[in-house]
Amino acid sequence: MNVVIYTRVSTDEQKEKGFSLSEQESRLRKYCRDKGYKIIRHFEDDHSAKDFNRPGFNKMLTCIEGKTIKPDLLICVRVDRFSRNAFETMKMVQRLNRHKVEVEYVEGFIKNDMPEDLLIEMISIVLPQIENERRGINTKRGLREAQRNGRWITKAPKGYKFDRSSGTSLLVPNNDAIFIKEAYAKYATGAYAKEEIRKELNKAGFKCSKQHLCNILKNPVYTGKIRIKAWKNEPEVIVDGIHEGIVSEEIFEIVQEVNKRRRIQPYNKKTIQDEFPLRGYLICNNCGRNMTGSGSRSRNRNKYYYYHCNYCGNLRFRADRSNKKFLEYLRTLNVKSEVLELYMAVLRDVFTLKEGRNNKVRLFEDQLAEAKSMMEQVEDKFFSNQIDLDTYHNAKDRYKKNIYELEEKIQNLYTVRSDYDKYISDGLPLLQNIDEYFEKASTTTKQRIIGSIFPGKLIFNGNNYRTARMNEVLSLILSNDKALQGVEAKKADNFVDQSSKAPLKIQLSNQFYHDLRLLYDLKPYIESMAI
Amino acid sequence: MLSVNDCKKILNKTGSYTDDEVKKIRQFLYELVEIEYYNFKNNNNNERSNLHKSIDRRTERKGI
Repeated sequence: MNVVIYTRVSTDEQKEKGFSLSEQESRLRKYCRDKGYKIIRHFEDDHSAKDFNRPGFNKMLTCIEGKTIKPDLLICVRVDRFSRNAFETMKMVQRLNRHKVEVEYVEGFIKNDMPEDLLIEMISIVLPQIENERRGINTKRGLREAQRNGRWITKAPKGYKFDRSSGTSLLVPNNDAIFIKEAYAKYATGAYAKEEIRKELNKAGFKCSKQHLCNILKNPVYTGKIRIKAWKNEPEVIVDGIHEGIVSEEIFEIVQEVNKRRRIQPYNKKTIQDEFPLRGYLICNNCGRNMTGSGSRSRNRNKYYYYHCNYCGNLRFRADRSNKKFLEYLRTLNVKSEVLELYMAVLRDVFTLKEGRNNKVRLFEDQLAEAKSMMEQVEDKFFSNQIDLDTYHNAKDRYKKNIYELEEKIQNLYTVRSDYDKYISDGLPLLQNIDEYFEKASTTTKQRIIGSIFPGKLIFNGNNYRTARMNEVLSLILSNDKALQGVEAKKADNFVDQSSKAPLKIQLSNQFYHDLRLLYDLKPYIESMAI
Repeated sequence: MLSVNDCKKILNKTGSYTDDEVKKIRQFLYELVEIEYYNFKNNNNNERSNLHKSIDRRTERKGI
């Protein structure tokens, strides 16, 4: 009788039990020798038995189905060497039977050609699956317990690496951590889109995809915590990790708030044109889709620019007039005095922080104090005859020069106007003169301002602007409610909250036109009735 | 970032805001200032690059 023998081991089992491939092979060879079988081929695998997607087994199956070998029997040491999936095992046995190949095991179930064999066979097939699933559950429980103890159990997240020097695997920040910190800091300001941040970081050498950055900005691992996902009856929890966080919890929370606010972005950044600062923020009053902008030349060769809807084609507004109306609307926004005061404080805080002047002054002052103490030490050494006159003079000159340079640097920092001072004396703070600032700003800045003030898209009816989602902060900071009334007065249509890129659920048909078509179709019938 | 208490001291001189409202206002103002700073820095860079362009043009003309 021609037989093929099949041996399988998964790496874990091999380590744990020493149930090696060679040991299985020698047992199978002995079994065949005793039974008088002729081994025509031996196949082996070191893969899991949860399915039959194993290279060795697939090769054997190809040989049998391609009729390159014609065995009568396939022999394994035990059922679990063949498979640990009951349903898959039965299907595979049937498949092999179609090619007149029987499956036989050295241990466990032995066929006696009795109908009751089926029951025993079923039990012997199911047992490995139960064992496998039990082992899976135990492993999962162990991993969750490790997570509860604050350990990270999968591949190290971006910005971290595993430090195994202390015996246990501990996450420690790597070179990418600085980029992660920067991404959080920038996104927390709310003034940048994720894609802008990603592109900037990519240029600086931090490679990550759009989705990856989204995941990074949601992952509490960067605050030193670990999220344990919900499993069975256990709810999702966040626990303290044993690793060091890269960002503070406060920044993380702010980032989550910014994430929730879903700021709108212009739909196509490449098409920024100075004539259309509102492009990407305006939607059509008729169909609710994005309005675009383009120019057209008149008979006297002058070029005029329009916002228009490409989908329904019904709306068309002169861009200059629409932009002017928007400026007029901005002019009506009067901010409360206490909010303006806070705004100036924030302005000073951000400018000072970004400039880093205070840090520089502190650094130079430290260096100055050190140089002065060194000079005193040299003097002490000279008076106690530890150094000669020449060495004393050389050292003194050197330190004097150093002190002079440092004092000059500190003086310069105090006398040269800071960025903030320059800005306050030359420029106009945004919130004090929002319309003037908007008028003079670049198109990118204009769009950023619109995006910050209006979380929802704008609808223009030729005279007024309105929006479905008003910024709730505006109601807190504006002294006049008229500005808000102008925007909120008219209740928005349902489509405003829907994505402009997705087709509308309700078809906006013209009922009159529809009825007319119906009547036209019925015309011959009505005429025949009249006759 | 200014603390909520610092912001509250300024805001509640004449008004009365809750902690949550102060947080929202603070976030919004920081967002606007970030835009303003970005614009300021961009303008400065453009001015510098314009200066460099004019120097380049002059040196080209002189054939240096």
